[in-house]
Amino acid sequence: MTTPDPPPIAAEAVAWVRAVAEPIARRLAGDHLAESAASKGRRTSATGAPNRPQEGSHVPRAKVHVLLDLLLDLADAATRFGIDVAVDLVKVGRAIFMGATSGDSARSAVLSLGQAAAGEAVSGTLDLANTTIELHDSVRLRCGGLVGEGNERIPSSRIDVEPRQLDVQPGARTSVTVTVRVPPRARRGGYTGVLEVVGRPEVYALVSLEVL
Amino acid sequence: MAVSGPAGGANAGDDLLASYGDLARRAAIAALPTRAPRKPLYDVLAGYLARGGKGLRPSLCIATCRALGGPVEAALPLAVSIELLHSSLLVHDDIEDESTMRRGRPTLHVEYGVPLALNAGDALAILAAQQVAEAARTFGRDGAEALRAFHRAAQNAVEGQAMELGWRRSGLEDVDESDYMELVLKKTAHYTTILPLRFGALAARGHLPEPGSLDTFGFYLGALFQVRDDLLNLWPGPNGIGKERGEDITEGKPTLLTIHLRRHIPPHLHDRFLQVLGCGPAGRSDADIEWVIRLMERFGSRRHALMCAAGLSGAALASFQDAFAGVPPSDDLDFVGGLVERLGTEQ
Repeated sequence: MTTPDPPPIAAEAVAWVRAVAEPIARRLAGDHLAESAASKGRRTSATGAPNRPQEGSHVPRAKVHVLLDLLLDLADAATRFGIDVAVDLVKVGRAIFMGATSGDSARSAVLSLGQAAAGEAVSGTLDLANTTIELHDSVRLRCGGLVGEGNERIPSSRIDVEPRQLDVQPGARTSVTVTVRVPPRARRGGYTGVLEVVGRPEVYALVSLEVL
Repeated sequence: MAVSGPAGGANAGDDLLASYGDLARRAAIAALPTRAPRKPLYDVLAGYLARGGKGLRPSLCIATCRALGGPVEAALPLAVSIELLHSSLLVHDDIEDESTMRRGRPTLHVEYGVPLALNAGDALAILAAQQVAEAARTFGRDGAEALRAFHRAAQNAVEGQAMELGWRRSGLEDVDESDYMELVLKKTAHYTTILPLRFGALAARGHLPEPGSLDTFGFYLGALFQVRDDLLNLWPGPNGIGKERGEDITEGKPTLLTIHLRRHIPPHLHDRFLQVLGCGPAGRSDADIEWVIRLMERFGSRRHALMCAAGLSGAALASFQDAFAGVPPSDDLDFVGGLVERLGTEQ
């Protein structure tokens, strides 16, 4: 059985970008360098008079070449395997993450607690997973409070995270329960905050709640 | 230790987009003055902002800030300013285009009349500038950079709109694809992608990508967004487009599709095509629009636009990797890079 030739879309697409879009991208990057030079000139001028931007500033040649090489690599990969291969290039490995396990947002970094009236408590569950072969011990979680319309706040003292500190074994997944005790005088509306691992701001989940 | 967010792909990206977009929308409504006049102004603005939309621009701003190590709170006022500026431009664009639907509801001038809508659009632009000015105070030396970036984006947007309106009057005569890409840079990319990326990086105030590479990524991403928007206007996805199909044709807008067809249509069909192109809502005929769409398929205009989108996707991916090289993996970084895939595969 022979494999049909892939459509020649990649090479054609790269040629189009080079002819039509890339000159604008190069000029844009060059504009920034000129703008940056002008800005620095304004800051450093000994006489106090603004310096003129440097004429003919361009993006460094090396950077342009790197971009062109990447485009050619993408074109080559896309020609052989289809354009989806190029998309895979930005997918990255992962080690430890949080994801909601309740509601519709399973395995996402958003925990929607739904609706609650003032004075009520509402809970939701998140997973903290360790996909490495290392132990992550003494992981501490923190939520700095929820913020709503008009800067209304539900303070962190009204938010319980259980357990607040935990060990996550290699390959293990641990549940974390977030409970928000809505203040009796909380105003109606949506509130949002961030639950994060202390010292690891890249590991976090958004927490949202609608106060009725 | 390499750390990243959940492998949620499109679903995780959807959640982040919805969450950040919702956060910025609520904050934008909360930022409206509480004084009079309420009914003819601030209530109108609140209702318009509450209509929603995907919130792509503020989400890109917040996600960029978070990806670079900054907190949501730092990016939020700037994200709000982008949403207010976008809403202002939409209100005025809809008047200029005589559009009747926006985000699944009547446009603001249809609902309240042109005078109130014009004033509402002005108010949104002023409020957007106020947001940036207030946020800039907390940025120290970078505050001036934030103001410059905002004014550059806003000025380019109105210049781009002027270019487009001028070309529409001439029936796209002598407009080629390079002209179109210049238009896309001015009218779309500057405030839709370049400004959110720059604002996000400024708000992060930590590891900053080289601004030229960030702008390059923003341009390719914005161009991809516009080409995809042009395609969706004629071949809507399952979610619809929130406005009338084929408006780009009856408004005589320059798109890769209209420019390509104008160049490839046989002479005996040329005059009828020009009559349909830019006929305005009064001359709109669904049969004419379907006829033009069939011609775009028959003479390769749709395929050409899809090819261009594929090329822009590749360029956007390459420039994304260039701009964010060395940035630790995270959900937010996935979201920013994932926009290329999202915009490239939604046609």
